[in-house]
Amino acid sequence: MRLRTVLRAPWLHFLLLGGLLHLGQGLLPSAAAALPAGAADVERLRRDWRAETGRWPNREELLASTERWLDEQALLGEALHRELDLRDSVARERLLANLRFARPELAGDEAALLTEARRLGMPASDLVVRRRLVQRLEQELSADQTVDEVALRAYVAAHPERYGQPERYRLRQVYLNRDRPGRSAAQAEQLLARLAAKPDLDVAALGDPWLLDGEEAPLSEEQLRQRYGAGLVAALRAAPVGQWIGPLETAYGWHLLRVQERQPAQAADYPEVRQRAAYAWLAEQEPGWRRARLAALRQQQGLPSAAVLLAEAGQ
Amino acid sequence: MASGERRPGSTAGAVLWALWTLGLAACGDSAAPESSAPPLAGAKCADYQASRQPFFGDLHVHTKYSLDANTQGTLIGPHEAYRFALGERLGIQPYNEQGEPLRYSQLARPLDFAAVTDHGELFGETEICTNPDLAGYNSPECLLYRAAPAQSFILFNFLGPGLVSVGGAPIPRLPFCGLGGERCLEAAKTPWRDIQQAAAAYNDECRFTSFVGYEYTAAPLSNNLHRNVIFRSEVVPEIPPSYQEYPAPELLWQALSAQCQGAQGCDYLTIPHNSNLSGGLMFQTRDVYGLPYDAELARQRQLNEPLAEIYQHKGQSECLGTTGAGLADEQCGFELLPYRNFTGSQVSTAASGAPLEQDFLRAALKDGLRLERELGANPFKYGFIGSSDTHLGTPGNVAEIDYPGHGGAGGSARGELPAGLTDRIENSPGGLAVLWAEENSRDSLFAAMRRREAYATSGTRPVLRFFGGAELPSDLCGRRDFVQQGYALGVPMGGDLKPVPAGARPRFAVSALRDPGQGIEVAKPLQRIQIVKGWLNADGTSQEKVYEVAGEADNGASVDLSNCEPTGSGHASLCAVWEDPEFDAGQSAFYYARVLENPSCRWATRQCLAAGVDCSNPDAVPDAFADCCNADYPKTIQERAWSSPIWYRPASP
Repeated sequence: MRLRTVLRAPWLHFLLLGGLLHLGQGLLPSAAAALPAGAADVERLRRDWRAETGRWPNREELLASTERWLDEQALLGEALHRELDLRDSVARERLLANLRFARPELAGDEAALLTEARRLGMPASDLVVRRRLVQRLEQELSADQTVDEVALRAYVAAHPERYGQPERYRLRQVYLNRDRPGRSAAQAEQLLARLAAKPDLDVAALGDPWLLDGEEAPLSEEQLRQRYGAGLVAALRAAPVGQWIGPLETAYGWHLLRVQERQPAQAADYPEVRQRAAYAWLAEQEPGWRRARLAALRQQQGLPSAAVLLAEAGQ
Repeated sequence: MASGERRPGSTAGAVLWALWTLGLAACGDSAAPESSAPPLAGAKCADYQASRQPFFGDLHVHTKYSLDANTQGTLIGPHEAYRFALGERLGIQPYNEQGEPLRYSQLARPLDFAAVTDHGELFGETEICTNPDLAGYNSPECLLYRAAPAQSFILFNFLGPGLVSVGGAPIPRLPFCGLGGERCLEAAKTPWRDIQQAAAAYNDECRFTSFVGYEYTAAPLSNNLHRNVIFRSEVVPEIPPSYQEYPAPELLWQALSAQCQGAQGCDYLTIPHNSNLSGGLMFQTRDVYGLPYDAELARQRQLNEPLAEIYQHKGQSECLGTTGAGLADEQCGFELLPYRNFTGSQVSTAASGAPLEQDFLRAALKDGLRLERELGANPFKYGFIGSSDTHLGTPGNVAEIDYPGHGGAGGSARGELPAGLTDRIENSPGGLAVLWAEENSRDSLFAAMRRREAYATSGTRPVLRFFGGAELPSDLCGRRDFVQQGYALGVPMGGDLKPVPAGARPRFAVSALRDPGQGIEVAKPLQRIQIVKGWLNADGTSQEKVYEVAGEADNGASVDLSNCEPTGSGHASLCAVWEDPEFDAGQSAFYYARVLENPSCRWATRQCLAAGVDCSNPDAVPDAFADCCNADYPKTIQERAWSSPIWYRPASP
């Protein structure tokens, strides 16, 4: 009777099952080999998709989903090859924490615990470790990229709007405020005629005050558009230097303008812009580099294309 | 390939690892700090203007590095965000399976400056080091980081090996040892580094300014204590101090100060936002230990937080207008969210509770006057800016027309365009920050923020000047030297009034130009200018009053809601010199200007109109457009600008 009671005890079942599981785990393949790609994975991806979105994926969606998964497998494989699970402190701590509980007798021997973690395929199966390893490897890979001087020069030349200097205008203006009684286009025409007849007229006393008055700072077309609206710029492009033009109507009223000086656009000064251009260029190249790196890794590891995998899976 | 022979986890290994990390950190620090020279006093830019010019920008932008942006499909990173600010057309979420965006967005007008401010708490390395629940908390790097933040601090001056010298010029050392092909693993790309590199890539002195920044995301019990941290230069902490480690604003300032100390060029300020959603906490006057504010803490707050966001995607934080003496400001209903914290948007308005007066800036400004009298320092001396808080990586996308939503409060947009309105009905496109600066450079713009010479707009671009001073001429509006006299005889927005002579009253000169508009952004003329005054009575109670100083409230301007066409006329510009008729030299006070445009259609009204929603036939209204017929929200918006206040303080007895 006593033996039967013991045999029925939940703690015994727990221990037996735990022991069996432990023995069973020992038979599992190692982490490096735990990267098979096959029909079962495609099926799992389909189910994951459905769990997330509430519907089954169409072929295109499944194809894209499988490609992403294969990329991650390739990165994980390379991360293990580079022993990032042993080198990266975050992954290592996580693995040790997992194993210390399961294998208290090894608690003092970190190397043994990490070997055991690998044997159990934990770097691939633990989501946190897996994500960290993939992320860490991508960081390592992207750190290897260098700047191609020829390509960078071409990049700078291809973006004059970003690295060159825009054309700028230094202007004088006489402004008539549409809110003031009596101001009109006709009045502006009369003023223009006076200015044409007497070019040395003191314009500082003509018209109304303009809130952004001040120094005749050289302004780009973009600055002029922002301050006056788009209409003014087109007229300025055709304006001869030193001659009053107008009246040009804006939301504010009427403007008579004289281009004092037109500073031509300038090509990029390469040494000066090189540094910030390099940052922008690196960021723009990164997606292409990443694709190339992934293709190479997948080829090295003999991973199939998603299309092949889907065909195998009968999708 | 597995090997059990290496012992990377040993103590010796940990020490070596830590030293290596330090060594690599130092590799970013070996060259002379040429790029962190002090700001030049004089002009650097061809269009430098001593009398200052207005620059329009957005200081609150989330990209893929913010988890709440990333989880809803935002793939735009800091680089693309800055290019968007410069005017580039950008594909935005959602994307199809091939990664192609299903919609595009572009600014009608580029910005002058921007800061990408992703949630610092969610940068991986910060989280791992500062969250004890996560693996890695006890890793050597993190122990080092917590024990010696000053040593794990890098000066990013970007000069060094690996590049070809051009014409004998100094060789730019490029990003974190990676460019020259050197292996510098700890210097590899991480979110915080990528954010800094993007800022460096697009900071174009004299034309476009980018600031390195992040968002300190404190939200105890879903009450918002968020702050955007903006750095003056590229010299920034190695890891941004975050809420997990510094769970109170004063601890954040201590951490930032400690880390910036001794690092030439390192300077910061913090900008709180959405006090309207802080559940009573943003302007509480007790510190993290429950002790009441003292003079030192009040001074710290004023020093570190010269500005606050008065308006953004999640509503205005100007005023609630429901309690207190003298409250008769119908404009407090402008873009007012009906709840007091994030529970309101995530669960329900009822679960959150109604907004609280004390969470709005006008109330805080008044309380600041009281605290100044009690403590000798005003902790709530806030100037105003607006920003977007976009979670799509689209800075400055703040027009009511063609508004794609900002995503932050919306659900996931993966794979397909959600039907219906592009945002929650109570949200809005948000606003802009405007800074009065001599030129478009980090130093010049940062100085403008420090002295609060800033104003907020609700997304349009009116120009607003505001000066205060007892000696300002009363005929200033007709004069050509408005600005010169304003600076010479008064103080600009954000300043303190010079002493007011006995028997005199302070004057305020306010002048505004309408937004000229551009492309699809057809702006409306100005309707009126108001001056809002708040003051402190002798008995410690405070009051406020709104004065109409230019234009007219009843100008008859309105909007034809059947086609969003405006009716009625307004002003191209408005100007007034106003003297405070109720000035009492013994009462401390603040004054700010509010400029209102003629009304126009709100973003949702435009979308409902385009979708042909007919609210007279409720059964035919699709569910996704149900809020088109929600009578709790206005159909029109009166775009506006808020100047930073000017303060008056009685002379000490």
